[in-house]
Amino acid sequence: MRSRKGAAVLICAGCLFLSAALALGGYNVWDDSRAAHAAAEAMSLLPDTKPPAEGYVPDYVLNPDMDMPTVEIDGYLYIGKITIPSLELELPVMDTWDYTRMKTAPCRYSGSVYVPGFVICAHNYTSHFGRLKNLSEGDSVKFTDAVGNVFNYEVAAIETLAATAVEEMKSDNWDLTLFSCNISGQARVTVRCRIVKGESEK
Amino acid sequence: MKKRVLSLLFCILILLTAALPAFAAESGSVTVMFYHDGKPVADASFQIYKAAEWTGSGYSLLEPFSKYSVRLADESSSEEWKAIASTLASYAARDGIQPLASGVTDADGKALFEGLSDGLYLVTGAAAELDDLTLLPRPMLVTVPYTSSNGVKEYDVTTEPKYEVQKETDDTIVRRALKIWKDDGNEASRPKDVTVQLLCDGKVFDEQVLSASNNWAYTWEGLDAAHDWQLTEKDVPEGYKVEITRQDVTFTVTNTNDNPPPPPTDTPNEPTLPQTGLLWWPVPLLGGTGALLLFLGIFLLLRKKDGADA
Repeated sequence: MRSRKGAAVLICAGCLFLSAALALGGYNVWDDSRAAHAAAEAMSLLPDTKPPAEGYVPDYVLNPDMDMPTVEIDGYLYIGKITIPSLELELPVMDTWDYTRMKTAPCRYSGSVYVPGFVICAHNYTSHFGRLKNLSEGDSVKFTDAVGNVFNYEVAAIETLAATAVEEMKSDNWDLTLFSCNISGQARVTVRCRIVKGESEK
Repeated sequence: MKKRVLSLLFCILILLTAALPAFAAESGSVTVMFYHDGKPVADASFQIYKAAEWTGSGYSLLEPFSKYSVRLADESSSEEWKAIASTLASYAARDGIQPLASGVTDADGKALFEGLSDGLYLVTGAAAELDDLTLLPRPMLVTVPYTSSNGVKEYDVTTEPKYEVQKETDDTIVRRALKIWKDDGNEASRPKDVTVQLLCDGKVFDEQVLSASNNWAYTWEGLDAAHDWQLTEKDVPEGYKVEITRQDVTFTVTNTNDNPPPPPTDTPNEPTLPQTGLLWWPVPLLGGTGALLLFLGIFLLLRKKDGADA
């Protein structure tokens, strides 16, 4: 009688654990899908930009220290979009980061696209930066700012940094850095990129 | 009689003593030599303003220039000095500041300004014609005396103004204003917007408000190329200095705040990178534990049943 009761308790507990796993997994899948939709919607609202007309010297060339231009969508400021062809990703990038913003789109963590040390972070949603680890050296990455200047990069290194490696993450030895959490959430998958000279489109 | 002679000598001495510094201070000159491709530009009008004086530790702007909050730093590069000259010249034009002296270049392209006391002088020039060309002299700053590379003080300074050649083919031109902030740590001091003024031949032609909503920039199109276009910031924000430069079509209005940033209000914890991960790691843990417990429960149940059947 006692062991039958014990078996029932184990079965109930097992069912509870399995339900929790299913609920959490289901929520993650739903959240990933929601984030994909939110980013796609913001992308669709980003205005079409055209590069400055021929003969104009872009503002960032005259003043690399200038603030990055922004576009406001639904009360949030965006600094442009990032394109990673090998992952078939094109995502808007917000001006600054917080946990609310990162639920919608990748965010600027630090720096500016006009000078080395530009860092973008995003959640590891499959539709955001969850597949960064699949990039390879030489893969191309493109950033288009809010006024249409295009900056072409290629992946130069992929590394894993500790959650406390703040200064190392912001290093201006790299022109562009992308990062997101690994599966455990304890470290950051970090993609370092170099600008491709002469290919940035004005 | 002896007393009267002594008094006279004393008076002469006093007069000489008083006159000597004045004589020394008013002994400099600036000669402007204006050439284009080796040819002298005659009948070009130049103005000279005393903009600043040496205070022992650096130059300090004089009235009326001191009211413009223009940044005057001794460590300024030659490009920055050009920017300071351009900024002061724009304000001088806007407010109709009277020059110390005006002059016109002679047949040799020479204009001479004499009797200048020690100081920093702003020299501006009006558009001048040479053959079919219109030449626009760029404002410049000249120090009197000028210390040469071998350390000798030259009180008679000769300078050749930089200039740009106005293109004859341009009917209209474009000018752009771009605001730059240099205020690391003091970003909270920035105003929500600033107003810039486009000057046409020294008169305010248009005013525009620059703010984050227009990315701190504005472009004027279709401006008459036959006029001289300058830019000023209407009111320099409190705590900031201004510097205005032009490259190509763009006027860059730089506001600098060198004040030390306020100290942080609380001691931050050890900084960490943002947590950018979905909570996936508990899923296999929960699933695995659940499956194990379920398996054990079913195993116990079946064993009990087998025991009862036996």
